[in-house]
Amino acid sequence: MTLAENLFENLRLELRRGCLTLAVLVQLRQEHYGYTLRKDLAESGLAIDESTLYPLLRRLEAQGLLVSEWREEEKRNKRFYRLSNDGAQMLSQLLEEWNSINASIDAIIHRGQ
Amino acid sequence: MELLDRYLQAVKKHLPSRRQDDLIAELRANMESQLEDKEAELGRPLTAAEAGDWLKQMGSPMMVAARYRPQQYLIGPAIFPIYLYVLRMVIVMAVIVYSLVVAVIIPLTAPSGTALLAAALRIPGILLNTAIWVTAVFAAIEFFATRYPGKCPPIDGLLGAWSPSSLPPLETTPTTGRRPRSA
Repeated sequence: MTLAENLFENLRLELRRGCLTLAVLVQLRQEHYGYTLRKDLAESGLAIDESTLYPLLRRLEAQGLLVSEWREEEKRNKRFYRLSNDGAQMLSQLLEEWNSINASIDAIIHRGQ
Repeated sequence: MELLDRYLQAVKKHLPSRRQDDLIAELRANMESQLEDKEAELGRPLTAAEAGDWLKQMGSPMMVAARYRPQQYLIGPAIFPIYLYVLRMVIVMAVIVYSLVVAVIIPLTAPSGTALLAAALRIPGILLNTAIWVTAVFAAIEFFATRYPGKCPPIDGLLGAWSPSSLPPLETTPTTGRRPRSA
């Protein structure tokens, strides 16, 4: 990997980190288990590594933003996650922030033209 | 699949023991679902090589397990600036104190060139020892601060407690913040 590619990869990871959390919270307004969540996000164009997503779910649950339960489905025990009440509140705040950042960046881009 | 079992077993070894069964059960369910999808798509079981590629893509067991832990530091970014500052001060002080002691003791005992040389040769060892102790103390602080977050005084508070009026007066030749001369 060249230096520029490496730098791009680092900056991209940094940029994506918060966005992934946001996408996961949005997607978990409906209940999912790890694998289907990952598949749905990938279909929407946001591919996440397993080794990033599964620990992220645990972290968000520990922070009280998600709730989970073990349940059997298709002969297999799976851990299903969904947004908690606190998580829903946090999500609406984060979405506001996201929209305001987007609007600002857009404004800065267009002012420069 | 035997290879998947071996993979999960390897991941489990690197997980904290209190949570490992729960984490592995979840990882297994997710991976088995994915495997099922893959095999349904192909219409046949994965070959050994394909299974190997799949697991390879997941990442090494140690790395996968590490992601479940919070990022760990020997000395984290919050206290690192203080660590560096203290380390410098302590090393300088150690050298000064040691030099003073040598300056007093050598004339009293056997004032000779070899004694002086021997004393000088002891300096690297003393510095190394000092650095090790300072590092160990800060690593302990980091450990307890992350283990018991509520019970430690906030480290940012230490760094944040300063007042603009207590800044040292301007040096006669300002060394910082000067505008670079334009060409």
